[in-house]
Amino acid sequence: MNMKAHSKGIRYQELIASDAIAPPRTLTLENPIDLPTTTVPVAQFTSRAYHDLEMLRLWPRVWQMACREEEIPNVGDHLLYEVGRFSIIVARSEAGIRAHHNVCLHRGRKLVDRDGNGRAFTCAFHGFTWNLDGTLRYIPSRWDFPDVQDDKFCLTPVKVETWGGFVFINMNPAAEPLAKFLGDLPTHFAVWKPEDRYIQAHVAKVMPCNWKVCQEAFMEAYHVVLTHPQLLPGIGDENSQYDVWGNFSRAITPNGTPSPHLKWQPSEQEMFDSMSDRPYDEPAVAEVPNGGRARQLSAAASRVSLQGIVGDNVVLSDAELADSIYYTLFPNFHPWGGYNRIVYRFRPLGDDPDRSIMECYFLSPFKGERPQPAKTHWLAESEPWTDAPELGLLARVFEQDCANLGQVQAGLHAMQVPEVVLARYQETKLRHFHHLLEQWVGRTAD
Amino acid sequence: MKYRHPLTSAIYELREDGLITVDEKGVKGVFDGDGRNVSGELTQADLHLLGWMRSKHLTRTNQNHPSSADARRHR
Repeated sequence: MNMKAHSKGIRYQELIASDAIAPPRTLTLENPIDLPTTTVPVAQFTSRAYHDLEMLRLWPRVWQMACREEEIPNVGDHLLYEVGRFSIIVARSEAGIRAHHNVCLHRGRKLVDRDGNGRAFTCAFHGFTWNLDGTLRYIPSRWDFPDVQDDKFCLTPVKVETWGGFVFINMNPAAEPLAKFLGDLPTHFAVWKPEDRYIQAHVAKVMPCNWKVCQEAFMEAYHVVLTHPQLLPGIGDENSQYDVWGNFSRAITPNGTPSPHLKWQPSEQEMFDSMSDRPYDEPAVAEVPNGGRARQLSAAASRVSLQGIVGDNVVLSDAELADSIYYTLFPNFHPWGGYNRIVYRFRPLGDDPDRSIMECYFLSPFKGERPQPAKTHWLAESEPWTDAPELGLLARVFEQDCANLGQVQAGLHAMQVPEVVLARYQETKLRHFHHLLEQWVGRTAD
Repeated sequence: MKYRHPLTSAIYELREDGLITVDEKGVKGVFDGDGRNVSGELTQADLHLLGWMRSKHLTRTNQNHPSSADARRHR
């Protein structure tokens, strides 16, 4: 395999070396890894048998982001996190955040139907009640359950740890500590302080495809040339850098540099116009000064609005403000780096391998008192992303991606060859993901 | 609202009715946001740029949509 084959465009490290304000050290790191996974069995995306294996070997054993701490700020606040067939209550108790399987130990009804606040969890069927910490509180007609021992009749616990304001859960009581699973990820995010952000928007939608099909559409810039052609004058899609560390991977796609796919050289103004979605027949949002650069102007505009919030002592580099820096923590958590607000999460929906839940959070820095987090805005399957105007231009980008996703899932079912094939470099993140997935779940369900 | 396709230089123009006129080197066609040809000599255009323009139309027309009002409250 030729590891030296690369786009003819400028390398990302060369580009940021010429920026006026240098980026933090982590953006200068490179760690391309040549992984053995170059093909993926189609059945990983389509078969119920592989879905069942994920439900057996992956989701009950892996750390996964359940919610933000700010969503359960007060004692008694609780939130439901559901992944596939699993349902978890994440609750704030007097002793801190606790999580339990959301199942009544009497006859198996789901204990809690929705997010809320209360001093205890009472099953709506017969009234069995547990405290926020999972200990038994009350059994109606207690005399009728002589074999039940109060101290052993606790809700089934789930491990909880936090990082960056995110609450992670793990259903495996023997799971390694979250810090070990995260590896160096917190180091990468140390300067961006995700714990100091609030949920400005949170939009969720059921998608007509497997959760892996969905998330893989947001893990590379290889698709930009066909799926988002309007971006090409101002995005270095093929110049993206892809890196892998332990359980996480990263892509950095530079903005304010033209796509190597173009047959013409855009001016700095044309690059900026593309970045700001300027239609051909409308005036420019701003003029790039003589000798100026599009990425510099774009970064400067963001810097003006951000500096007053994050403080004058924080250096805001052009790269952190202008580029798309998108991390993936196995298996399904996608926090963006720099000062982009995006965090994605993708998960299976019930036991249907052909459907999934896609979520987009905007996590924004704030000054002064923490604002109230936005409530989840659920879009119906038939509603376009543009019905979530809080996502701004990103909603329109999602609409372009969604034109592919249902068709990919349908195409995978119709495919007459057993495997899909991945690009050596530009699909590094996908290869890393599937490399790990095969370690956790296996390559096939056979 | 017009866009010039960065790869083909064709001009895409959004009409008031949400359809899109595409002019590729003088050959014209009208398409919907899903890429279906409605009329004209030009019978193929870029699905995703058509979708980009359709989504702009949706953004304009959903200002009074009830779900938009709900979403704005979450800002």
